[in-house]
Amino acid sequence: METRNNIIPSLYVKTKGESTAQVSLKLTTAPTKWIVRVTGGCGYMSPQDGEHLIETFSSAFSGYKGSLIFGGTQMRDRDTNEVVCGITEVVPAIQANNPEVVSLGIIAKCSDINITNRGLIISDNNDDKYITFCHPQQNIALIVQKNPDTPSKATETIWDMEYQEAMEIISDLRQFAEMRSLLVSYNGGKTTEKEILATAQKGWPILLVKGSGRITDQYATDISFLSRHPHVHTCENNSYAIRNVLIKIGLINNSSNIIKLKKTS
Amino acid sequence: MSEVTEQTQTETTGKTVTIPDGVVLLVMNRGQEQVPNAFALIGTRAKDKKCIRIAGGCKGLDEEGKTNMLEFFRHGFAGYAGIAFSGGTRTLTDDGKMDPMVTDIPGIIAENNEGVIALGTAPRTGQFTLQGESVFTLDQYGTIANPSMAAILLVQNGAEGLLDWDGDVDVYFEAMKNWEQHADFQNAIISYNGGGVTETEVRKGIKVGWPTILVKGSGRFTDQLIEEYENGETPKNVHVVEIGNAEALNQILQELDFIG
Repeated sequence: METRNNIIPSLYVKTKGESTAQVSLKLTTAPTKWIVRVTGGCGYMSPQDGEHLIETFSSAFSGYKGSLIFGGTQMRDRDTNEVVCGITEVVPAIQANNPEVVSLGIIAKCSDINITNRGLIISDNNDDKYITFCHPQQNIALIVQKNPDTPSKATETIWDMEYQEAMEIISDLRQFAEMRSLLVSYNGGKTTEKEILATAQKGWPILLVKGSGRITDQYATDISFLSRHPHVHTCENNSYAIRNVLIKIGLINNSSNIIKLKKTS
Repeated sequence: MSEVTEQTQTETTGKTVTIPDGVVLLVMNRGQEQVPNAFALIGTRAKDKKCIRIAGGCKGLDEEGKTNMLEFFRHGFAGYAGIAFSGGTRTLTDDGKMDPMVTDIPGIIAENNEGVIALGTAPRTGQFTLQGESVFTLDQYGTIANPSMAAILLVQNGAEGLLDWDGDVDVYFEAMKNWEQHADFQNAIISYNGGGVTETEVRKGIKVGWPTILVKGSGRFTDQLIEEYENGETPKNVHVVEIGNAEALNQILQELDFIG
């Protein structure tokens, strides 16, 4: 796998239902006892929107010293090898500015996995313009499979395994390691909706970014949903607004303005 | 206020839960399985990333000797803020009072030092039962799950199989290795008195390379090992303190960076 900033991901493969004590323990090594799960998608977003997304989160999370969980993959153009600026680039970008952060990528095994000289390929369909790799910039990559014998196939159930695994890990960290958690949702579709609803049901804090598109927008403006779940926060789609919520809930310190924030809209 | 105090005093027996939040987490594990998430993670609640396993026993110690042992550790661990780890049992006298054992030391350390998490492990050597007012009892001798611990990992050999008294050694070593390798903890072992099981665990700890403190004068295996080293070569990771010299114990823990 390619690496940046001297990070070499530790790779774990687990079958659904197995214990992940080693992975969970690693997440407790960050200086602060916070775990942020970044979820969502990039549907209908332009490349410029993607760049805006990275810049917004990178600025908003400046000074963060906790752990992060994300999708763990990186999409690259088949021909040019150029990285697509999507939601899974957010966590590596935050980590690049905040080296004490510990990151975990959870990847649902949806096809045969190949080790190549370009990296660990998670999905490679010849009809697709892009190839999905295991993201090279994360501390831990956890590949979750249904079981070792079932042929891999991308289905809704398979995609659900990512958020289900994330919630199991977060649940253990909250209950046993006294960590606090935040689900940050940006854009996203059906699977993101399931994660928002399951997290809201548990009463765990959520931040929905308004104007990010699709399902996140839908719930961020759903008055009935928000009134039933007071632990769900919303904010506008810019770094100031996101940062204000992070400060309000105690996730980052008000004084930790390490980099100059750019106001984006 | 005085009524509450009086009630607390009269109700405090060897069976009373003394862990601050009043809940001892009991986790079951089959010997060959990985250390459960719950047990591994609860250790990370400790303020400092340190873990000290207190191994040994109390054979041959009278009541005064046992009281002195607890005081030795109470003062020797002043300022400690990591995991205090030992066997997870408590022995009771016939009238239901605590009969102090090595397994009561973590609770004493936690009681006196903010940030300490007291943890224990115990093999299933007998039939688990709920006795009296639902007291979780580990065997036919009335040994109970130690109520001064934040969590106890109970190791069994399958649902129907029993283990010997060393049945938890591999599992607790795995837990300590997990904390060390994946959560940046530093490990150490202290040996006090003890017999065959203590010998297994202390020799194993020395071999792994963890700092090991032997309490001279505590009796049995620990003194035998000190004698063995005095007649030969002492491994670099082995340290000796005199029984009763809590200041020396505290000093060594500071030098080893477990306190401070």
